[in-house]
Amino acid sequence: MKRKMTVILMVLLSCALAFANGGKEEKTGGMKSISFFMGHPLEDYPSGGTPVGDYIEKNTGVKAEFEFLVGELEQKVGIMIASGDFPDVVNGRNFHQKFIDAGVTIPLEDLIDQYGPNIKKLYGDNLNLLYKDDGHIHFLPAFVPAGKISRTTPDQGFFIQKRVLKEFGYPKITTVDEYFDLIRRYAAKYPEVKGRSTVGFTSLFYSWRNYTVMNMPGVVTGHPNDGSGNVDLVNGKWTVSMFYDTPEAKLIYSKYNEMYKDGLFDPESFVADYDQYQAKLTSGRVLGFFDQGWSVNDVQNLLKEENEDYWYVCIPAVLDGYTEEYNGPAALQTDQGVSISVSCKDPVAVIKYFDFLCREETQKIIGWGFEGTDYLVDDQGLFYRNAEMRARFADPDYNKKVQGAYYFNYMMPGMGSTSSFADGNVFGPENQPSEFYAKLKDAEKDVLDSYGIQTWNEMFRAPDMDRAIYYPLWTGKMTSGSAEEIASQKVTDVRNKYTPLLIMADEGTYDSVWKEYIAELNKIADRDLVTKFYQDLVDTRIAAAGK
Amino acid sequence: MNELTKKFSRQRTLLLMSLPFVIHLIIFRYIPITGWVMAFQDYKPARPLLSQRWVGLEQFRILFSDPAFYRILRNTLAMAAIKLILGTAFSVLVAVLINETKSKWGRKSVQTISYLPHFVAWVVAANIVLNVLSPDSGPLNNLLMGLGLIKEPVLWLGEPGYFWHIIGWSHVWKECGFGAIIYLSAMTAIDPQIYEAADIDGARRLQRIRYITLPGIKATFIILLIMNIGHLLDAGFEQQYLLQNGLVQDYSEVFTIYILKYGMKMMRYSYAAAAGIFKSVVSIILIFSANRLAARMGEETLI
Repeated sequence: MKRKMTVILMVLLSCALAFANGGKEEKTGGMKSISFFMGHPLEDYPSGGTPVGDYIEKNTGVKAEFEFLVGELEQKVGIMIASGDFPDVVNGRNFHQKFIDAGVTIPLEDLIDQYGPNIKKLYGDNLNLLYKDDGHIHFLPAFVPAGKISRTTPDQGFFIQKRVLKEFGYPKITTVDEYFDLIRRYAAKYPEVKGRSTVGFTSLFYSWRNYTVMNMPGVVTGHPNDGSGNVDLVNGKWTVSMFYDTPEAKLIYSKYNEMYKDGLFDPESFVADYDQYQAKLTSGRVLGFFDQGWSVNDVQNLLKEENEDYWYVCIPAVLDGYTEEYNGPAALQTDQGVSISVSCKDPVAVIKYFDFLCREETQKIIGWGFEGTDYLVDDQGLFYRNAEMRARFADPDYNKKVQGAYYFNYMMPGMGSTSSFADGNVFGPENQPSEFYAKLKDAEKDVLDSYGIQTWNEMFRAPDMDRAIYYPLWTGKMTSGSAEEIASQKVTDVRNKYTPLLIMADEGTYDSVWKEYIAELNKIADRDLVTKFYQDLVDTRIAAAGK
Repeated sequence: MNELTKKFSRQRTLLLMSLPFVIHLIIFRYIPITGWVMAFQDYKPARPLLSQRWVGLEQFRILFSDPAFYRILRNTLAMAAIKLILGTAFSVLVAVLINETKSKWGRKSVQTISYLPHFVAWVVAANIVLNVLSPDSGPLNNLLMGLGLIKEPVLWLGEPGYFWHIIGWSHVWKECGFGAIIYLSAMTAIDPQIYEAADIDGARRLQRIRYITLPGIKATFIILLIMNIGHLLDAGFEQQYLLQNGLVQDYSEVFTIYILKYGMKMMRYSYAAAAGIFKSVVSIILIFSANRLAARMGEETLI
């Protein structure tokens, strides 16, 4: 009986499979299909179709067959390369270079020239940055900076709790000293919150998220988020220097050390993981911290729902005598994108498909949706949404599961969320200032009004556009296993050990810990290779931009 | 027919039954060893194994000349030894205690509670440890402060001197219940008549444990010890990886973390393979010496 059942089940299963295949063919009948591998774990594209996806399908006659990442990306890319069998289009995200090294990708420049007028229009001069050493363009990145760049929230900065600002009448803070002073005074006045002790300032040393501490010497001396080092204009030349062993590094960590000695720097910072960090911030006990905006989005959203005083405002504090430059210019991602693989039978169709995506009209539909149902246009031609539309799009899953736009923006050729169309509207509704303001909570509007501004980003200076030709350093990828990568890892190891020791140094011992730290660094023989690697990177990028 | 073939045909069924496992072993344990040639090359992915550049013992030279290597070797051996000694001692202790418990309900519940942490992944368990040791009103600091033993919360995980303790004791918490299961089953194999005879002779409880229970599990104990000694260079990975931080890295980095950081992550597969070979060779030497020692002491041996 059991065996019979098994046989019946197997027959049924194979029938189902056969029919499933049959169905697929029928659906794509008369239509081209392009297969994609996207190196990002995403849910399958909604099987019932989506308004945005259907629009693109109808107008291009092409059905996109997505395969998303399951498991580990590095491994998956390796297996694909070893198997020699590829979908039409591959995007290996941060391991994309491996596809290029293995000769999987075909040159795109001639195809773009012939079949990509809209691609050329959208990417503009940025295309020059995409030529690799072999003289070819191998991929098209997503999130292209285009038109006027409009930001409503800053990249990064010192965060301070709203109740602190409120207590002192919304002062303007420009230096780290002023910032720590506010925290000091507030913590002295209110040592407890909700029955638990107030935490003055916290940081995160956990794994790669330790940038919240490690990047400090760069950002407090007026540098954007280059991450790996400082880049300054010296005698008309963009020059790279490392910031971890400078007098400024010594100064900023000594300020952290002062806070620590006063019991205001959270000792748990040194050992806590990201979950504990988020939990602590969400408790509302922490008065301040340094981070990048995306890292604390969830925390902020929760706090804003809970209490009107416990969320954080991001402010640009620097060391005395420096001008802040927290925002970097919007830059093209020059390390990853979509490539056409050697297995693709009809590269022209793929380029035409990308060209359709890059068309301004398509980009408007991907960014905002369809006029009338997803957004409205006012007398001045400004896009906005009504309450019903806002409620729909407030669900973070809406753009994926219902609208489908996400699949044609994330990792696909197209505009970045801060880019603008020719008519002045911003691609990402969250970065359209009027739309941003309309969606704010009253408590947020109060703070903005007190400072006399409309968006959080107005507290920050505009990025230095001269930097755009090389920015940012952190997208530069060292060759795996190279001498500079090993040296860089060793520097990281020393910093991971000594940065906490500096901050925790007992009264009077800070200088000796610092000396020990420098001595350890000097033991790493070829750490200059790291500086050289980044200097070469900057030089290459500037040369490419000059083409 | 000679003796051997006769023996074979007699145990035909048994041999057939073990065949799949032998094949499994060959495929998954022996064939991958061919990858060791990588250690003598400068391996680059997406190229056949034999068309790689040969570099002889260069990878081993780099490995042994890295000053970090000896620190990592020390950490690995120390933490593995601590875990082995504490883990075994507490497993035996728990097994004896459970074995001596007369109430069936008590045995079952203690056993279940003690082996439950084994099934929790280290990712979760590490979070529990982090929270228990938290300087910010973690239970341990609260307890010690409540008892008046310390005045201020201690940053347990930030003190290099405490790290091996934390690894050892969290290992005991997580694994001693599960380790006890094998010893418990060895105890059930002890003939109850021996206990009865001891009772009649007037043996007390401690004497029964000392002269019957412990000698009864000696064989199991020795076999497990030999097997574990072979793993001395596997001090674990997740536990250290998840509990470490910059302050204690000189004491927390073990072989596996080093291989991940300076080998795999940098695509230096040859370097990782060389480190792997070193590890395997040392493990084989250790396991054979332990086995020899056990044999010389007239005990049960593994091989």
